Amino acid sequence: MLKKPAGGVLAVLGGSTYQNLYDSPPRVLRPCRTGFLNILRDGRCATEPEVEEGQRMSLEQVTKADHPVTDDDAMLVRVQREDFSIDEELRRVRRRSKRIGGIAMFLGTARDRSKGKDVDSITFEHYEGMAQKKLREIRERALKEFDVIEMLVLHRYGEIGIGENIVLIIAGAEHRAEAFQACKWAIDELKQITPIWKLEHTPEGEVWVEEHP
Amino acid sequence: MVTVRLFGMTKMLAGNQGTLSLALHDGKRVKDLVAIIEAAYPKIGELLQKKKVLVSVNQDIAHEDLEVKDGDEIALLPPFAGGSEGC
Repeated sequence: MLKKPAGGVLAVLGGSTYQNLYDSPPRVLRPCRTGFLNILRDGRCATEPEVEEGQRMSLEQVTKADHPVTDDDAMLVRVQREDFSIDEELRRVRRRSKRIGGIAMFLGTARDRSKGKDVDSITFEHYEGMAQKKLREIRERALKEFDVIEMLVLHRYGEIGIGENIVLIIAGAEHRAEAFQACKWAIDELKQITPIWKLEHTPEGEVWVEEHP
Repeated sequence: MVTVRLFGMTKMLAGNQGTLSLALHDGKRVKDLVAIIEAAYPKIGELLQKKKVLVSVNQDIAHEDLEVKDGDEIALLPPFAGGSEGC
């Protein structure tokens, strides 16, 4: 179905759909996704269901520089002080694609115990700029390395009361297995590479948490 | 002169200063910067030696041989603790 691209031009056989092309190995084609080869028709992202016989479309490796982050993209990776609405964030992921059939979510909340000690509240500090950069990397790697259609990554900073939301990961895929896998990978990776620090306020005083379990 | 941003426990160990201004001449490397910090703040120096605190240059973790240039964004990064406890 997919012939070898030559000179940035992809020849396709009639009867194909764009989804067939996106599904073809090695699966480097994605509808207008930064970091993937995107199919363009008349300079615009090609999303029509049918491909006409003999039709010529250009392939473009879209990079950050020529594909500025849109408002919607920016909303999918955030570090913010205020709380978030899980329903609203779920809607944000769902409306990105009608091919999403399985959504896995991880919500991290503030516990009142840490290593056997009471905790009254937690303050999160982050490295502005680098924290967002690392969360964007996590989303981009998840989209590239896992079979997910969309991913949202949010982390709060500032003082957070017990029971409040801290972190939210939502992975949307065609099927549940990929969604679960990408969601678990993303939260594990977030803990490893994101410059965010936790100060626990306890009855005995304040403690910077050195390492997470 | 370079400015080093501090976070978490490194900020606390430097007397709650958010930044350090250090005299570092052209051609110097991350390890030279670490030596200056060790001399002024031995507790932070110890954490740097144990690699519990990492140095970032322009928002990437830096190797000790990386040359530090004027205007680089430098930070000391204690162990990360994002997410929620035990998650």
